[in-house]
Amino acid sequence: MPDEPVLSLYNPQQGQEYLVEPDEPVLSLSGLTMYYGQGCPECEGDPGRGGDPLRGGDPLRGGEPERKGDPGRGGAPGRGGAPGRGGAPERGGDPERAGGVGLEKNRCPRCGAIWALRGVSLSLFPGEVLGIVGESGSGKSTLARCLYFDESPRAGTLRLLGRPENAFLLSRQARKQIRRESMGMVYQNPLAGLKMDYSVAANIAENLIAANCKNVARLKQRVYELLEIVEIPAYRGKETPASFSGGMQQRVQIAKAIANRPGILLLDEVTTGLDLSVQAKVLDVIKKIIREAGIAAILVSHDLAVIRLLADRTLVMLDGEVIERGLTDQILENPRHFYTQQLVYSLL
Amino acid sequence: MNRDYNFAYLDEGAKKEIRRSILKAVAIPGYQVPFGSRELPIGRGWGTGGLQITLSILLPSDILKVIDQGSDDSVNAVSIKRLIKECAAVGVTTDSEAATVIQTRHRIPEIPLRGDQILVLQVPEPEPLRLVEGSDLVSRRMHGEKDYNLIWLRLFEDLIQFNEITAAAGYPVMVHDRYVASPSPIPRYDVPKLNMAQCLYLFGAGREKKIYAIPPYTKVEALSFDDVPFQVESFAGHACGKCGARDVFLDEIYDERTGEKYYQCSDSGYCEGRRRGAG
Repeated sequence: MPDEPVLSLYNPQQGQEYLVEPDEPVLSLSGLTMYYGQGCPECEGDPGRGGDPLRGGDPLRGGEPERKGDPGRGGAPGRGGAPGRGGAPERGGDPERAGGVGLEKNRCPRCGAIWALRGVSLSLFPGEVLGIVGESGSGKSTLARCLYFDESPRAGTLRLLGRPENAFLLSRQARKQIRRESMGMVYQNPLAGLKMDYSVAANIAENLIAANCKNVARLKQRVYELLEIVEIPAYRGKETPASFSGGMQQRVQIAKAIANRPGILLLDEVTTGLDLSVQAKVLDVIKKIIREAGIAAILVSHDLAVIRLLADRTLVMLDGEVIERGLTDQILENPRHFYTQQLVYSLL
Repeated sequence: MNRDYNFAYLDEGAKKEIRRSILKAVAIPGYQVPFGSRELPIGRGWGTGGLQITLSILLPSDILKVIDQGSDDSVNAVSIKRLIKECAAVGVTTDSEAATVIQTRHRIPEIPLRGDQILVLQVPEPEPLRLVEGSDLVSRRMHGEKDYNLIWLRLFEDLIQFNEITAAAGYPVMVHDRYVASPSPIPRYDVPKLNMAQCLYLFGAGREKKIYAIPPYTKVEALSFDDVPFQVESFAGHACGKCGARDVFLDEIYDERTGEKYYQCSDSGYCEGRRRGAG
């Protein structure tokens, strides 16, 4: 499905909507493929087999070659057993296990690999907010983690900020550098994004220090500016995030993510688990920052209200694939795909 | 010398391996070289790293000085000195100028050391990243990528919480603009002595099985922010109660009976030399 690089401009006097060709995308992703386990793609006869085209098992976060405790992976029955490439015999001909029952539908019937993303492509243009919706396990968060280099995809091309090279193929150091200087990430779980034994001020300053700011006065000044932006009292800067509520922890994450004035902001389920009033506050803060700073953002959420409020364009994901994309209003008012219709009408 | 032991206690194979590790450490200043730490007649954590280096580099012509917390007379220093003297017929001294090899814990002697001298430091924790990163695998990767942001973050956290950097000993230093190293638990006062020194510094951690080095004339900088310069301990207004020295690192001694505080030189050899000269 081709991406639609458009921004909509609505002229109320003429009652017409114009589609405008925007600038060069700040983020351009094509063919992102991600699976866990040995074997695949499609087990046999694939030219890409015999070695991952991209450096597998080399994520920037955590440092360990393989992530642990990820519910999408750790619980997979076939994962620990490292099934052979020919496929475990008991699994090979079992249509129930292979064919699409519950969570098993993303498993390759022959080698047991779990597919997380299949050929995802998208573009993000300056100043826009791109929403990504889908059910749990559809690959939204994996997509966000791949874009932030927390996960190493098996295939795909990522071009960032007009640079010609594939960012997935850069060295670890170069990817870290891009991440620190040009990207910000707000995780669903504050534990993933914050250091709970450091003060809030130090957490916010982390990316600034990583970007080689070694002047304490400037660091403190920027930290207190950011605390004001996310509406946290300055005197609480010395406290650790562990003493904060969930909503405040998310605001600390937002402050940390925008500290370096990144070109791209990734927001992964930022309001999940927060009550409605706190959600509203967090969303207000995000909206204000995105609009004022003109940051391009990717907003991952399963909450269509959040998408409606913030996103200009929206992608709908199902089973690791993008099944529908378009302007947010169009997706929500006139969904075309059966799953999107289910999603929209079940909520409204 | 006790003839029942090989010269300098360790067997020749062990000494050769440790010397090779030392050579590698000297070739890559600040880099922690793993080595096969041997069993010794003292417990791990009591200076086995420093002792193995000392035993490996000693020649019969060497003159040895052993200090612990600056003192020649502490139990640990005396025991190590006796062990080495028993196994290798080297001369021993308390005079820093006369010594060719000085094994030390926590202090660097007050007098500037010469190019023909080697200072061996006993190191309990060689990894400067240990406080901020628990995994050895990740720590090594961070060294490889020169990624020391977490150390900087720890320093910044100190400034946020206390308005000063609280690390009193083992202050992280950048060696030769490449590796951040822990200068063993020497006080901050001694850190500037590592920079462009004439002597060779060897660091041994027996329990952690690591050796690293700062060769002569190597640039060593304490990590510090642009507007918060590195500061050493100040003893302004105090003098050694025994020799009257002022510009030295002083130990503070509290007298329970009188409730008073006294100061005296931490480097006992230096203090003794001053008193001898005055007498």
